[in-house]
Amino acid sequence: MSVAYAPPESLLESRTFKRLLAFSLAGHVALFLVLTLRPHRSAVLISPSPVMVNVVDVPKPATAPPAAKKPAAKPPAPKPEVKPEPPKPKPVVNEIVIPKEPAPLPAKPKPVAKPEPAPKSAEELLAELTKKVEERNPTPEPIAAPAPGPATPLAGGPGTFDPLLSPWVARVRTVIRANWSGAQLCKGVPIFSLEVGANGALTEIEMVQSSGDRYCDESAERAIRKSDPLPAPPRGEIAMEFAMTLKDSR
Amino acid sequence: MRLLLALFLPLALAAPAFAQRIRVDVDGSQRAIPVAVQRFATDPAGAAAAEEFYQALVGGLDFSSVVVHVNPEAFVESKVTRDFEAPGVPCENWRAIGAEGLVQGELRAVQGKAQARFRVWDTSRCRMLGEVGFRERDTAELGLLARIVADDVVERFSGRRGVSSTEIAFVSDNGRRNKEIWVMEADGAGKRRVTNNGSINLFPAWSPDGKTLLYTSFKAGRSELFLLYRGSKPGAKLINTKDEKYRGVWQASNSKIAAVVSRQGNTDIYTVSSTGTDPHRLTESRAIETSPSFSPDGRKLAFVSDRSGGPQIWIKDLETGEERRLTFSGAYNASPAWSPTGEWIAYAAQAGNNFDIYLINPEGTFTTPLVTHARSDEDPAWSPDGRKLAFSSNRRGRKEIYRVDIDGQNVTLLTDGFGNCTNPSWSNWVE
Repeated sequence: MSVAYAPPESLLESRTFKRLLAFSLAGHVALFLVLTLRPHRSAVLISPSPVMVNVVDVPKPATAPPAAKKPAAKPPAPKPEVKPEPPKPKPVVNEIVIPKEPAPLPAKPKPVAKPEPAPKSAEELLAELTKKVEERNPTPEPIAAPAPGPATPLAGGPGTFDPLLSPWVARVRTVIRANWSGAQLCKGVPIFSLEVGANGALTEIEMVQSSGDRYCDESAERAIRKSDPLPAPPRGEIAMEFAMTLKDSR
Repeated sequence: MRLLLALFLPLALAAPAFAQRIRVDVDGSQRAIPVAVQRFATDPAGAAAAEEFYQALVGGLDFSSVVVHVNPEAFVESKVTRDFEAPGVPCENWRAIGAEGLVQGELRAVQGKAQARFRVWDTSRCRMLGEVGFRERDTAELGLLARIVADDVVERFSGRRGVSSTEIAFVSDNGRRNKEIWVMEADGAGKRRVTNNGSINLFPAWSPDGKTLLYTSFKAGRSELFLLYRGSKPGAKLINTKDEKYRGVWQASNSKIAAVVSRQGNTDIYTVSSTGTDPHRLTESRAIETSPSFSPDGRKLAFVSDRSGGPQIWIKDLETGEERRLTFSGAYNASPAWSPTGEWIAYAAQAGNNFDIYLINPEGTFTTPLVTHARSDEDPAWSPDGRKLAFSSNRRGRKEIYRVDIDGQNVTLLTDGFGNCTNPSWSNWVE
């Protein structure tokens, strides 16, 4: 009780306060470690842009992979081992075209840039992580969550991705992907801006960047509309941008 | 209480302002757009025709790989078009069964002609795609009429017409010693022989307007090029010279033909007019040049030459005369076929004792396999929309014609039981 009535100077010097302060600091350090070591932090590590935080890689160009466009990838012209005498065409189909060389047989031609199995993207890794976390910890710890407040659309900043959004984003992405028919029409990347209400209903859909092909744009918009309502966002209404790409744009 | 405040107040102050605007990349896959098709309204006497029309229509849609019809058993609404003139449709009932589009229409027989009027709806935005469509054919061509409508519907959803109403010409020995030219619908149905001279007939090539077939025949004792017309117009020899001519192809403008001509032991590529006049030598090398294929704009020509040793694909710029080698991988690359979109050149690349079909971009910077098999896949030929290819393959022993989507999916045999089949050529749309 005496501590309670002590002047501030005395309070700062009091042993009880020092113990409380030390205990508080220790608690903060422990909590900080818990928060920073949680799997959600990978979302923050994924190259945030100055305005918004990407949860996945920037979409790739729709045509050939960059590696394939290296002129250096072009193999040198194979040296003919023995130049065959060009045969005169004969009146049979297989003899009109240039005949196949009997031997030696060359190796199977390798594509200049053979597509390789892509390593797991950051997005896929994130989805896996969030799934694991969800399984382990279905409800987020209240102590780690900031108090729910009104959404602040467009108010982003570097490295300010809310880790609690990642499971929801993964679910939304899965829903829209499952509803996207006609993605093969896309060679460009249409981008849509969405506003999602607290109950998951789409309150606004706006195309902010066309793919350059209206049929691709329409297919992407149909996918989004078909997904309405989305799962309810964990923090109330939210604004999002969706970039819609096709994995194999051949 | 103070203890708790001391613990959490600094945390609250340090909490970041969480961004609420995020960007999500959604990667799609090849999946056809589900479209419901109501049977077209008709008078009671035309019920059987309407059913035949419906079956051909949904078959044509499914053939596209872009649109797929929804099973009518799932319909909440009527399976038959009730009120074709109604200003709207209950889109929510179509969305509820997963249909992103709706086709409805009416079918009439007027003076020996079958007439189809149809509407196409985008049910997600609940609006009509384009105007009311109208198509007409002879009543004997009801199936073709339905496929033409199906191709129109595909265009409303994708910007490019479907190809179910197009045809594929090919060579078949039909189990005999001679080889004749045959024509079938793009799905392999309706095969019919179009030459019957008992000789060797090869390399059919459709004109861009789809009305004429150019082919090579030995019916006159040596290799010559002949024209074959739709309808009753008699065929004709293309070039009247003593040289032997092989394998002609059309330029997209319909005005020019590139042909392989053997003159004084030297095999080169020439161009002639569509009537065989005004010959012009394109390649001057002493090597063998063959297998010409025009770019869709007609300004370039892909061909095969063994001037660098083995057969490789080259491209000639017809405006500057510049020639450049396109393929460098492998010792034997042949049968180039330039896609109608201009983006790709399909070709047969030797792999061991066999061939696989690859795609390469005209710049030569990117190559990718289209179909590979332990046995040979050869003779690629593009559909007019550039979304499919036909090719010949001996993967079942005999050479047969197959079809494949441009992503390498849906390999389908088209000529089961027709002997050895080669040299497919896919027609353009015929109006």
